[in-house]
Amino acid sequence: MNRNRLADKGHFIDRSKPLDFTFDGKRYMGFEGDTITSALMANDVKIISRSFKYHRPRATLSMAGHDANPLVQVGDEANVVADTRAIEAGMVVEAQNVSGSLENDRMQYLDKMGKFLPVGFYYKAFYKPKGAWKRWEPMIRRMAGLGKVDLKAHHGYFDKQYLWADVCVVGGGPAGLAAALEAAEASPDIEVVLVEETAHLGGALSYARFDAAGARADAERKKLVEAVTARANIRVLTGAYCNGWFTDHFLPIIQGNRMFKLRAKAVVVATGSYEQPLVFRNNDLPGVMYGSAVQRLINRYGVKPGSRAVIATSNADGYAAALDMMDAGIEVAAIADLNSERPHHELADAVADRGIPVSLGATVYEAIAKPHLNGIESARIAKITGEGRVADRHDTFDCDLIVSSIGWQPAANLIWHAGGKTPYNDATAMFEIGELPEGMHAAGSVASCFLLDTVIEQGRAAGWSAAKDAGFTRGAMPTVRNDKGEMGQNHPWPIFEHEKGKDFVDFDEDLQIHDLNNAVHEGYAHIELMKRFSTCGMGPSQGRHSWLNAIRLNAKANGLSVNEAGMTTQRPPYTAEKIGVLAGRSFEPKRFTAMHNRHVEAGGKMMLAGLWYRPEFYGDASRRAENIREEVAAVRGGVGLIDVSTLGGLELRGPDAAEMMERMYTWAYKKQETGRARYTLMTDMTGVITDDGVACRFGDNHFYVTATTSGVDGVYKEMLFWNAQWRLKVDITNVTGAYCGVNIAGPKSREVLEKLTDEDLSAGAFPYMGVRMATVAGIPCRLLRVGFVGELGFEIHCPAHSGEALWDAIMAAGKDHGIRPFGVECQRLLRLEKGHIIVSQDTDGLTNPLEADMEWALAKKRPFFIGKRSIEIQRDHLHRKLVGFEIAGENPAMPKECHLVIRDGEIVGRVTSCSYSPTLKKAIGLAYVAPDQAEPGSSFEVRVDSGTMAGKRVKIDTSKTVTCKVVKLPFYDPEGARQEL
Amino acid sequence: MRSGMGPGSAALRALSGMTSYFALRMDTTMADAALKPTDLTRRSNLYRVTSQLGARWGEVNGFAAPMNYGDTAAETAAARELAIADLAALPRAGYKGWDMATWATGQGLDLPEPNRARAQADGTLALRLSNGELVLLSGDDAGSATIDKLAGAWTMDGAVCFPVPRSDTNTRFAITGARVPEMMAKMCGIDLRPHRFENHQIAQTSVARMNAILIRNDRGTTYALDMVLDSASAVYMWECLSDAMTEFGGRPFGLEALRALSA
Repeated sequence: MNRNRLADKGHFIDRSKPLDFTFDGKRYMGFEGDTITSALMANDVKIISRSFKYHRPRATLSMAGHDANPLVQVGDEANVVADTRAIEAGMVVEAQNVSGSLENDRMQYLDKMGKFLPVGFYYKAFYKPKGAWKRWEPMIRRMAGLGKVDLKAHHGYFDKQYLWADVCVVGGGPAGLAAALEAAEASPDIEVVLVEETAHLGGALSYARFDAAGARADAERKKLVEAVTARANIRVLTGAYCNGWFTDHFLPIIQGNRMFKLRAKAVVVATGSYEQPLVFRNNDLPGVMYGSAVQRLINRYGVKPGSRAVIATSNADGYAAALDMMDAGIEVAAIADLNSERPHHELADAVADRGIPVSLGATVYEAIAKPHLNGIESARIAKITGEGRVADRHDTFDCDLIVSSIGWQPAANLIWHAGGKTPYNDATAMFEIGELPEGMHAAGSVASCFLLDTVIEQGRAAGWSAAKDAGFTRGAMPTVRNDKGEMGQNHPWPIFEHEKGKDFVDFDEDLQIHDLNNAVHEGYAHIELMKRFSTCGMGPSQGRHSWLNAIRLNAKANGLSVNEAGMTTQRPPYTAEKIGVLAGRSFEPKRFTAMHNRHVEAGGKMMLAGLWYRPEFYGDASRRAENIREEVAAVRGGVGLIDVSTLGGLELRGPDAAEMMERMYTWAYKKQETGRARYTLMTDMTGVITDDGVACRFGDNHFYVTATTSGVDGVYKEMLFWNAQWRLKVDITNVTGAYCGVNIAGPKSREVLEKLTDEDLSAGAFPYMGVRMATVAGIPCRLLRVGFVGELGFEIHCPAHSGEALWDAIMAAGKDHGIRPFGVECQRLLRLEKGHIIVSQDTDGLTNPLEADMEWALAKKRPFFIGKRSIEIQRDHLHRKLVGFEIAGENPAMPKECHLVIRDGEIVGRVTSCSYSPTLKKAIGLAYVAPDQAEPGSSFEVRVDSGTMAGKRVKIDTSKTVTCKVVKLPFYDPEGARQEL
Repeated sequence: MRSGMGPGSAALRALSGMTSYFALRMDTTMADAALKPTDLTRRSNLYRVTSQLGARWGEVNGFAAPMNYGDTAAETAAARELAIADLAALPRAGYKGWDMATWATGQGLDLPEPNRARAQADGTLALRLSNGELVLLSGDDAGSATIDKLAGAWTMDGAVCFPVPRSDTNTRFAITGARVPEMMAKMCGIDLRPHRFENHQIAQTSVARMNAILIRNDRGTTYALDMVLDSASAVYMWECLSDAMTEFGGRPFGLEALRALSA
């Protein structure tokens, strides 16, 4: 049942496709192409929402979503704009910010309390005494708000896509269509993208009236749309909005759940303008709307928004709306023209011909509400006696619709984002575009052009100019006539304060004239301060319907011109956008070693190491500690296998490879023998440790250097950076991904490996720190006799695509020896027992090798390596030293990483690693302590739990400290006999 | 010097990815129903994924390669619209150094200018990534006399450029069909449309936040991209591409269909 549906109007809807939906639990029928608002109004639903603060009933104002009135909840989606959201079959729509029912909101009593809730009352009333806000805030949030976010809502699928164009035209109205056509005609090679916010091209041509007969808009629309859709080099995006302008014409265009990231060479802004409200008492009642809103409802959707109307206007648009209403069967009871002189245009003549009474120099100054404010009973019209003043005498007209057409504000958001200026023209009473940024052009009503012929010409000129900016020129620039029709379009003061108030300037925030004046009078006089204090323009519509009048009021209250009052800064986004759209399809790169699935199959608990996934340990997570201990026992007593593929690998090749090594690392490499490995320590220019690893020399001119998992990219970058200056004859290649690596460790490791290779693995033939090429399980490998864990062990590096096969072969060969895979946590414990540091765990952003007790890794005779000079300077200024420590006792309180070392209330260091050693059966760790505490046998205190700072001093609860004893490193196998077996 | 470690040794060349450790041969393998990827020591990082997609295997260059997914004709038709193939098995090699161009040209290579690719007489595609960096991709038949020749010629003594183990550092996908540019625009900021990205043009760029080398390498009249990417990220990238392809009806296809495109 669509009682307000017109039979012969509504070219947006398809009457052959009815759709059922519900609103606040009631079932309604609309047609495909209807929006929620149009379908509800077709069903004679008068109220769509309740206002933010006073819970006053509201319905559409602009029928374009330029205000917060049409915000509704659709399923789990909050703040849906009912004016523009198309209905779908089965859609569940609910009103927002309602207590009780939409018709009988329990909070509507707030409307009577308006005088007790002045602007800024939050700041004054609820912050004292201290802590009061915590009690008030939940209550206020329940009373005033928007939609409900469903925190359990499913994740939607959003994504992004790049798009490229020579020219992007934003706005599919007459100016935009003409601009796109002209640009496209410049060359078959030019690429034009046309972006239109609604589902249909045409803009004002799809609803507005430009002639008395009412035929021209439709004819022009069809002609332009057909021409645009016929051009292969124009891509049309409908239902899409350009939400901002960024440097070099980078434009985010949102269409549904996708954001296009468009880079254009030139942009035409043809975004039109926002109709502005007439401010009078009760101008927010359901049934008060813009002329353009009425025309949208009638012409696009075939909906009759009322039966008897009063119109207040100051321009031709009001008369055009009157003609459309009369054609739709709406009785026009009266027209109040704010101008004192009779207008001279064919639309006014046509209205006069139809016998509609026009009151010149008059305005609607009050709407008389129905009970409970549920609509309009009548309109009061009075003569204007001065700026914002009316005569005492008035005429009352019964009506259910009050329509205003008193002016426009350019939708210049993209221009503002780009730094364009729009000074206020006192003669036209509108903000007009001044100088535009390079490559940006504007046409249509956004550029204060309101005559259709001029609009199309201006669009053509803008399209031509944009094409030229993009490098395409055809013919001369189209001419544009001088008359834009902007004079008289805006009334300079459509603001009529009423002694009883409810004369709304900002509908989103329920702000009335006196609210803004009070803000100024309270000292928030500057436009930026007034905005923030009053929240004017800070609601969902971001000032689209309120800011023009707010600036006028601010200027008047301050005794300034509108230009002197100025505008606030406009930033992207142009309109509300979902966080899902911004997040898009998230790309989170992952790297998997070739053996990854073998770890998962073996019960490995995977952890992230940079982008890599590594097994933390194997087995049931509830037995984490036991599993790690068992892995430790396997390595110490038998044989274990760990995937070390994530370690970095770099090839340095060329005649200067050794020279490069000696400059980049702290030790000596020129004399390193081929077939041997040597530890590497890297420092930066300030002498801080940045990475470590092993250098394997495979030839006079060839080093294969390992680096830490997270450090290799930085090491590679540093090497390239320095050699770009040194120009040494060395090539540096990052081969991290090329090789898989495993470390087979434990006293039985040699026995296992011998099954898979013909190489002589005996200690004599292949000693500790030896390296060689070998074939293992038929796979060519690099074999390194190095060990991080302090046991006999071999690191085997093979081509990455053979990594899984190598793993399989070793696990099979070790089965009879009880081989067990071990994870990162086990390796960390094993290396701690051996006293090896982990760069970035046991070092920080300031650690130099002297602090880390690694002077043994510094080449003393070489004049240079990166960081050498800085290290030498710091030699006499050491403030801390890394030491090994142990804690006596069966079950000592275990310090954690970063627990503080305290002496006499001062912080002197911190713990970097600490764990219970199942091998040594005691707690061991590494810590920075004061240099005079570093001698073996010394002790120091670690605060293991609570404690507070007072200034620089620490209050110590001695029950929460642990005494640690400094011991010589390594803790395990100090002679290194086990790893050198 | 120990056996096997000398400059230019076969083992070193193998480790550097200069040549495969299984003899290269012109491959005409058809799917072998009995073959499993784990039968061989060289395995694509993707073999579990492609197995689940129904891959039928053939031995190529020591790998079990997806020859088809059950319907080569349908795959060939799909590949003209949008499809993706795992080409991990196809030989790859690389050389990098301060005078690569002189050396490679001296070996008879027809070297393109930087960021361009050029097909060699044997079907090998030579990619010039920079003045001093070269990548070689075999043709779809998996044979490459060019790769073999350069591998045999290179020695460490007096080297002015050095092998880069592209066979294992990287893997390779073929992404084919008319919808590729539109699909790739969801993952990559480079305009890959055919009139903007010429055949044999190279983009060294970011795809789904990972480094990748994209080469337009049309098969017959079908638009095609070869993607050379980090082998350890193969599964991640395949998943990203599969997801992006869904709205266009993209699917995986095998080597047989890839070869059919050029036939």
